[in-house]
Order: sequence, then structure tokens, then C-alpha cells
Amino acid sequence: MIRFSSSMKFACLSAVLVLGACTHKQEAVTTAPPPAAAAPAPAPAPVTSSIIPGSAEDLRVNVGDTVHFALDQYNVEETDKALLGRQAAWLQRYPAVRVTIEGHADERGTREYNLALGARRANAVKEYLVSQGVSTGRVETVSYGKERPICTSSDEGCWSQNRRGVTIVSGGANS
Amino acid sequence: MKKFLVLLAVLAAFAAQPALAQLRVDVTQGVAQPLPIAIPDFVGDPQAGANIAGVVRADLERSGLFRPLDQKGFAERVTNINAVPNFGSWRAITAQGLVTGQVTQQPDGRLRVDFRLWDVYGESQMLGLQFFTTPENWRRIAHMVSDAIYERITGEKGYFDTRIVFISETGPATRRVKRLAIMDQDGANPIFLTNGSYMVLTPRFNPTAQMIAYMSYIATKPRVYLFDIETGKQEVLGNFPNMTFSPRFSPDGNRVALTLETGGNSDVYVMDLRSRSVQRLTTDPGIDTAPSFSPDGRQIAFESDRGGSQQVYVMNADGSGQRRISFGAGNNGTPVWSPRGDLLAFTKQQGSRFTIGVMRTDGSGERLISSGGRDEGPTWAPNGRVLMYSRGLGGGAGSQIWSVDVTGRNERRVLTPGSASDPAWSPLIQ
Amino acid sequence: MSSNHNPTRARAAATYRRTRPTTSRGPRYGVLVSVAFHGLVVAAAFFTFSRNFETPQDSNVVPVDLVTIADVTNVAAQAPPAPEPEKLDIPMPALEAPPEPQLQEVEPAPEPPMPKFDVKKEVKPVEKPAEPKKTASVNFDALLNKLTTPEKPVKNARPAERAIAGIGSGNAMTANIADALKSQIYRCWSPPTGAPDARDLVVDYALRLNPDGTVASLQLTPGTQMAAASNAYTRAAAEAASRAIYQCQPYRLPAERYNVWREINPLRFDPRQMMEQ
Repeated sequence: MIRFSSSMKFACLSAVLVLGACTHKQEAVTTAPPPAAAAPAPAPAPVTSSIIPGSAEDLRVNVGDTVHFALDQYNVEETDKALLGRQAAWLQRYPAVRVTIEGHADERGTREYNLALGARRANAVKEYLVSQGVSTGRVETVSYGKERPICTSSDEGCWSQNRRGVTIVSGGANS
Repeated sequence: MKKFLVLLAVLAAFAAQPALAQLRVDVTQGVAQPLPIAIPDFVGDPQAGANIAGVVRADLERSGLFRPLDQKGFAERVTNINAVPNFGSWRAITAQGLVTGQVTQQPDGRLRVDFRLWDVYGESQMLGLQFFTTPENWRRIAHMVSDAIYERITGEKGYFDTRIVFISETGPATRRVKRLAIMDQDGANPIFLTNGSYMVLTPRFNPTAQMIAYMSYIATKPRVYLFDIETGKQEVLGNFPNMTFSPRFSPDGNRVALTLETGGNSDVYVMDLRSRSVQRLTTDPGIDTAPSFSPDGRQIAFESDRGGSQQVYVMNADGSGQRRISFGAGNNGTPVWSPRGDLLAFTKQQGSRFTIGVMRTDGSGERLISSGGRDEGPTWAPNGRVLMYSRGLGGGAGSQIWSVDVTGRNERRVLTPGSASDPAWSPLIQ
Repeated sequence: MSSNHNPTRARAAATYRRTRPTTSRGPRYGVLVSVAFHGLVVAAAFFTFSRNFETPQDSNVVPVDLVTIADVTNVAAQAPPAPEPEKLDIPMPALEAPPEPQLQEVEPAPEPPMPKFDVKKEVKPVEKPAEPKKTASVNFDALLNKLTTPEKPVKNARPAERAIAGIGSGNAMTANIADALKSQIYRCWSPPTGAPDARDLVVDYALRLNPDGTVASLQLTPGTQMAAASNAYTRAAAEAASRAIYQCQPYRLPAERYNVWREINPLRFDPRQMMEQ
């Protein structure tokens, strides 16, 4: 009991510091992108001139970053394959870019189940991109389960938006 | 022969007699109602005495099994706890139990707390205990007094000298900040353990309440971490290549069951904390997650959608003998083994409605015990009598922690500072 | 007397009876034996059935204000949520020293229980007229101590004519009295629910009532005493039942049937039905 108490105090005081330290120890920080000028391919005429070709915004706005899934399903829908095909082509055009696929679920499912389901969805997107020629090493996945909804009402209109896979540029992009 | 006949006659008379001479009555119905109990402010140090009695009253009241009576109605003023109370005057105000206590400052600065529990009808002392503590520690003593009273009256161990680790939530649903937090069972002494710059989920206590396992997004891959309360150290658990989540300690605290996702598939693993060796328990292509050990450590309940929908399964702790046990309506997940071993609490999902239920460990006797439509993630009080769980409010309005008796009675909110979810109940603090 | 019969004659008679049902001696014996055995059968049957007659398990004297567990659940469910815990700001560890977790230096080891008061020496005369029988109070420790000197079974000491007098009572009227008593006790009984094995919560009392319906004496049956001595759940269940019995006295029962209800044994409290709801 005494141990608990004294250590507790210490734990609370030092929690933030310790956590910060842990971060650096446990994971390589992926914030050092390669030189941005390395985009060799001539970019297609951008829709809006202010968007830099090969940038995260380029992917999100001009290519499309989000695909959707049916309830409890994780197979890539036929209607989304064209979009993922464009993502794959874009990634081949900018070979320095690395991406993370976020997998999300709607609120119908336990926290744990949805984390697993989000992982399935993210992985399904990754596999599709890889099947289109993207190197597997450039694509990470992460599941947020139901923890990051983009819409919060409890109806199918909202749920269908939340069941999604989102391709996020994690490094190597032009900026 | 005649003797024999006489004997027969006597036997016949005896056989019939007891039932006839004495009325037999079976009382099978009652009215569940809290026990009226009088807990006057403890005498001695007036401030500490009032504080401690107040915490005891609040603890017992929240259990739903006691109804502390209003002090204003007390006819007798307790001045000396070493005198036998006037039971008649306590009966007159309907008290069935009476607690008298005294708080005194010791020469060395410590507090001495004595209390006695009286059976008002039986006119006898049921319990008398004495504690010493430092003055700032009075709340724990109050909880220990509550536990002793609860145990003496109900026959069950108490659960008041315990803590809750939970996830504190702030901000809008689309960018919710989730922090690891800990507080006393009654909501007192809340403390953050993480700073909110990254998301954390599903914390669980180890059996000594010295360590917390939880899932954290602090690094690029979400993983299970251990937070050692004794040293303040935090470390990622194991060297897994991918996302790990839904940790839970074994009853001896030496192992952690968790879920590892590989290539989109989630399976249950067990890691030995001493040798750091890892054993894979499920290999099914379905989602296998949310493992929970039985109190004897021999079995693990988990949830799987291998049969087409999420259901509760049980396996031996080495992964053998996997079998589905939930066959009720809807999906059933997050099984949590009762500390007594007799029940599994779980989350039932029917459409978008989530409810907490309990069932026997073979899946029979399913009962739903919570009334919200967004209740999930049950955790047991160490005595197996009360559960807490998260209750979502819907529409992005955050969530709350609620508790309910295993019978389904006494459902009430656990006060937390702001939104909160994912409660995990500690064992009794040692 | 039959003791004069020698064994050979008895055997002969028996043998004879088998082949010749109607002889001068045979019929008397045969009738006697027959009557005796029929009596036994009837007695046995009565004994068996009388349980049902006297305490119909499913007798529906369910009081109107019976509250089932389900109802309670619903009531609880409808209760408005607790008020917001207005702004209990959790102090940030980084900003200020966190509040002490309040765990220092507890000496949890409660010292051995203080010496018990000898309540009996100081019990004053009863003030409340409603409870004239102070002896009725139950000291559970005293009850448990009686284990060493178990009560003598009362049954065998009863004169046989009590049984005959009781025959008239083993009917619907008796059942009504049992139900009347039940319907008065139930509202004071908060059934225990805690034990993992519900059988541990079933307790039997021997209750004697005074003619005015107050408790004359209350004793745990030897079986329950034994169980309560070793099982905290049973002890708690016994105490809960005892509180119910005292709290709801005096019992209003038909005075002219006092011979039926002066002694109830066993008065059983069985929460299992309620637990299953």
C-alpha cells in the first residue's frame, strides 16, 4: 500500500515525461521526408492551380482518399476500385510518397470488434493498392475502430460515411 | 405380534404428526429494499467524524442495499461508543442497523478510528473494529469501514476500498481527446495519467492494482502498453509487428491476454510477463478478440465472428477446446469473467442497441441488466456483485460510466469529471 | 398375550392363512394386519400430501403490492440521471502537484475485534408495548453457540392426540393461515441475493407466536444453524429473515385457530424463485 501511494505520486508527476520518452524509444519517428524536389513525373494539369502536384492535398482533392464499406464487411466495393486504381497510379507517379491507410467502423459494434474490423478494412485497401503495383513497404495501416467518426448521428446516412478506409500521406510528399 | 402392531401404529402416528402439529410456511417472495441503517457522525474529532461518517453513508447508499437514515430524525445522540445504545429509540425511527464510531487524534498525530455495528432488533454488537491512519488518509479508512459493514450484513466482501481506471473524454466526437485517468471508486481523487496528445483505450488493472495495461496511439502503430504505477514507467508490451489491443491480465498477474492483428486478421495471444514468451491461442480467419481469463486462470472467454456474427466463445487457456457459448439474440461480445467464476458479463448488440448482460459460463441463463441503449464494456467489482460499464449518450454527446447490481437493480451513474468511458474496476486495494 | 404364542404356532397360522382365508383365527389377524398397513399407507400418503396442503408451493396469495425484480429494474431505469458533477476539474500532473492519492501509511490491519458487550446484562425492560416479548430478540452469536448443544427434536415428544387434532387443520384453512402469514412477512423480507450458490440462502426458522401475534421465540433450525456457522452468506440470509420476522410483527391471524399457528416449523425463507426473475 505504501508502495502504491508513493509511486502513484511519482507516476502522476512523471507520466507525461515518461510517455514522451517512451515514444522516442519505441518507434522511429517518421517525420523526415526525403527531398521534396524529387518528383520527376510531369504532373497532369491540376484542377486547381494552388494544389501542389504530389502533395497530400493533391491526393485528397484530385485523386480521392476515401472508400466506403458495407456493414460488417471489409471487401473493396466495385464502385471504389476505380478510385483505388487512381490512388495506385498516383503513388506510382510519386514513388517517394508513403501512405497510411486508416480503417474506420461505424458505432455498431463493440470497441474491440471495431478495432479489428477497421484493421480488416485498412488491410483490404492496402492489398488492393499492392495488387495494382504499389510496393507493400510504402503502405502502412492503422485502425481507429469507431473512435474517429466523421459524422455522429445514429442513422444509416451517417454510419455509411463512417465505415471507411482513408488513404493518408505519411511521408515523402511534395509540399 | 401385538407388539409389532403397536409399533406400527406408533410409527404411523409419528410419520403423520410433525406436519400436522406444526405449520410449515415457505416464504418465497419478498420486497427487495435497502436496509435502514443509522450512521450518526462519528464522535471525537467533529470534522473528521462527520467526514468519515459521510463517506460511509454515501458508500452504503450507493450500493442500493442500505438506506442511511437522516440524522435529523435521530432521537438518541451518541456521545460514547462504548456504551450500549438504547435500541428502542433506534427501532422507533425504523433503523435496523446502527453504526457508532469515534475518531481521535493520537499523540503521534495519527487518527484512530473505532466503530461498532449494532443489530438493532437483535440488540447485539455485530462488529467492532479499530483503524489507525494519517489524517489525510481518512477517506480510505471510511471505505474500509464501509467494506466491513457491507461484508458483515450481506455476507459478501465489500468493494468500496477500490479504484477505477477509465478513459476521460473531452472535445467533439470527431476529434475526441481520450486520456487515461484513475479515481477512487466513489469518484474522489481523480487524476490523469496521460496528457491527451494521443488516444488511449481499454485500460485494465492487474490483480494487485499496481499496473495498468491499455491500448495507446502514442506511436505510429497502436499497441498495448503497461503502466507501472509503482515506478511510473510505461512500456510497450512485447515486440509485436502490428496493432495489439484488448489486453487483460491473468488472475495471477503473470500473463496478459491480448489481440494481435496481422494482415487484417485478429487473433488472441497470451504473453508471459516474466519470460516475455508469446503463445498464439486462436488461428481462425475470423475476428477473435476481447479475451478474459476465468478466475482460476484455466479458461479464456473471447469474442469471435468466425460463425458469421460476433459471439462469445470459451477456450482452455492453452487455446484448446474452443467452443461457442452464446446463442442468444443479436451479437454478443466483450465477455468478462466474474471474479467469482460463476458468470460472464458481456455486451449484447441488437441493431444499434447495446446492452450489458450476464450469463452462466456455459452460456445459459442469459439476463440483460442494463437499461441504456448504448451500454458496453462491462467490468466487475471485486466481489462479483456490481458491474460498471460505458454508456454512450448518442449524437456525439460523449459517454458516462454507470453501475448496476448483478441482479439488474440499482442502476445509477458513477460521477466522473466530464465524459468518461471504458471503466475497469481494481481489486480491493491491499 | 401374544408373547405366549410359540413361534411354531405363529408360523403355522401364517401358513394356514395363505391357503385358508376364512378361519376362526385367520380373519382377525388378517384384518388387523391389513388395517395396520392401510393405516400406514394412508398416514404416509397424508404425510406426503399434507406438505402440499399446508404450504402450497404455488399458492397465489400474491399481495397486490408485490414488487418483482423486473419492476424494480424498470423503475431504476426511469430514474432521471444524476446531476452533472459540476466541474470537478482534474488537476493536470504537469501543472501542479497532483492531489495525494491518499494512500500513505494506512495500517489496514484492523486490530482484533473489540471485546463484545454483554448485551444481555444491560438489557432494560421493554418500553414499547408493541413488543412485549423481549426474550424474542435474537443474538446470532448466541444462536450459533448453541451448536454445541443442539436442540432436542421436539417431534417425538408430542403426544399422539396432537396429530389427531391436527388432522382437521390440514386443509384449506391451514393453507390460508400459511398464506396469511406469508403475505404479512413478505413485505418486510428483503431477499438476499448474493451467494454464488443460491441454496446457501435458504434458511429455516422455528417460530413460536404469542396469541397476540407477536414473536414468542425464534430459533434457527439445527440444519440452518450448522450452515450459518460456516457460511457467511447463510448467516447473512438468516439475519435478514430474522429482521423481517421481527419487523413485521405482530401478525394478524385468526385467534380461534391459534392452535394451528402458535408454532411454525419450519418457517422457510427461500429467495431462489425471486433470483430467477
